Amino acid sequence: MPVSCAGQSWPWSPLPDRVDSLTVENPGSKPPNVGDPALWLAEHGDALYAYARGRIRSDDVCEDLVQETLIGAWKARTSFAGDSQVRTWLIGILRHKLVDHYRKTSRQKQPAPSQDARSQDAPTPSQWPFDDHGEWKAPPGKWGADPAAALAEQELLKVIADCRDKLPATLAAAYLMREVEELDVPEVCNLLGVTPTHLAVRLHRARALMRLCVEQGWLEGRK
Amino acid sequence: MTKHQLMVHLTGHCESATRLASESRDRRLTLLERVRLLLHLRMCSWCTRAVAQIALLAVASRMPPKNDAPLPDAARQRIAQVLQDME
Repeated sequence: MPVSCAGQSWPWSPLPDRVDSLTVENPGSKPPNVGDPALWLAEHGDALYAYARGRIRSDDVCEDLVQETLIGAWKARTSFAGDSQVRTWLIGILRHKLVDHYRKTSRQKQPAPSQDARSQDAPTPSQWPFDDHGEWKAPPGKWGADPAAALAEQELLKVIADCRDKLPATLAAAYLMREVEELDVPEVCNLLGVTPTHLAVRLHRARALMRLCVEQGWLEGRK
Repeated sequence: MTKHQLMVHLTGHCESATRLASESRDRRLTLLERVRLLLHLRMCSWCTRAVAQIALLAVASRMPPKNDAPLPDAARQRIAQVLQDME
């Protein structure tokens, strides 16, 4: 039900553009939700944590990301446009922190720079689904009659998360930025410091390894 | 020449076809690449299956977890303290 106040209607946002008009009745108290990190934590802490956990397995890392997000939000509080929801704004900040986290973890495990960039994240032949001739070593399995129905299964999401953890860090970063956070290609190349061609190699490897890993893990779990 | 050899001859082997399919998620393929990929997929049910599964995984990866665990109390208190010190 749209509420009209001072000539503005807010059909969905709990936040008005200007909060000072609301605080008149209660001078001295903070306006609801705006500019108060303690309230952000109370109201959105669980949502931020759940969002991070959907992407990262480590509880400690997720807790740290929630903290960094709220600190970042506090520092950038003047950038908050009152017409967007606080949660949307906070999730936006969290996504930046997540991408930064992927980038850092992919850098940490880089081998010596003297190595050929292409061989750095090459999967070992035993993990790779294709043989020397570029043919499938084993045919891709059927994932049930209606693969889309599999999305409803929590088990599949768990297997996917396990498999993402098993990817080499450089491949995981490329996969997460591109497929999960849906950043565009130039941005991912920029963040990871690779050429589009090299990114294409990484993504191809990551997707093929993910598919194989999920197939093995999922079918295993259903036996 | 078997059907499979013909397919490889015309459209490349399965590894390069899945590579093209992967790239199609990130950039617009050239006309020649698109023809090669579509032709390969028409003839190769294994690659068709794998390509669909890779797309499915991307969708699933973006889905929020259902059993949301709340932020643990210890972490909540620690973060609250950090935020208080900062203000």
